[in-house]
Amino acid sequence: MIDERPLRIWIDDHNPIFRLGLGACLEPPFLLAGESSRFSPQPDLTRTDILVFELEQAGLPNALRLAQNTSLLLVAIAANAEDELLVEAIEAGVTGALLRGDANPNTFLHTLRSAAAGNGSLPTSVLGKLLSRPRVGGLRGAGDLTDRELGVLRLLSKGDSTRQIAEDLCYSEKTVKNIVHDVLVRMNCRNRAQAVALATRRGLI
Amino acid sequence: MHRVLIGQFGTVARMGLRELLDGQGIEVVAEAESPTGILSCVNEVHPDVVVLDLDDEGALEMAEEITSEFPAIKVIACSCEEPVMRVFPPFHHGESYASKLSAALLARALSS
Repeated sequence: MIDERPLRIWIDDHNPIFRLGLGACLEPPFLLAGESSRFSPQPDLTRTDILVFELEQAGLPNALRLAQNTSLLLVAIAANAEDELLVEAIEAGVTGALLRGDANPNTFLHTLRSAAAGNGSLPTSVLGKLLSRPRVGGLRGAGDLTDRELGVLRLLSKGDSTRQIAEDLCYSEKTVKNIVHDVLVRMNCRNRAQAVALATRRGLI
Repeated sequence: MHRVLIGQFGTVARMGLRELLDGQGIEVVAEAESPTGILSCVNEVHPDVVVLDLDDEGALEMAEEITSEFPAIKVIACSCEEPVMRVFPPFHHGESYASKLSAALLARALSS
């Protein structure tokens, strides 16, 4: 579970009403660190743990540039599930994503909690889109992952939790976590969502 | 101080509006539960200002309806996606102007 250390959230959105509303959704352990519109003023990373940003043309590269070589977590707010940028964002290591139209205090806090726990969180519609993408590169790189690791990745792609995967494969939760950790390291991924995206793209699962 | 009626908004936008209005000490007298309920709500509470969701398809029509039935009421239609709003000043027969939307500009439009 998440420890109770406060987590500081920076919110970037170019609509002031929606931005204020997202800020008003926050409750402990999440605190509002600051807010900006299209990265003006520039988010202050010295007091930010999670950056919430709008998934739009300039928003993604800006957010990725800020997060480079930092432990900053990224959560994207997307206008719609059809957005190609969403897939790009997940593959680039954005931890969580939420559709603007689905946003409410519950879904927003859930996305933040998942991001803080390192789990990633995606709208189901987006996950489906990721899985149905044409596979690139065939089986290249499959040798890098063991059957056991691929099995866990497959269940992750279905949206299963650590506990569900453990029950399904008759492992302990600890073992599942270790396997996931190994997979992330081996695939050089920041989180589960990115690993699933990459594995899908490479046709591993 | 002006009394404000809020039309139907998405959850996050409504929370944002509330936050903004509270910060300005502006009184929200009612929130319409549905787009169709706005007119009867206006009739009941007689607000000075009605705030509508500009992203809602029927918003401009509703603004015209309110201003023609209640000429003394100011209507402000705010987008929750783009930083724009459309203001229908009182006694202007439904004429309106578009404006940039920021917290400060909306606060000024609400209290002027």
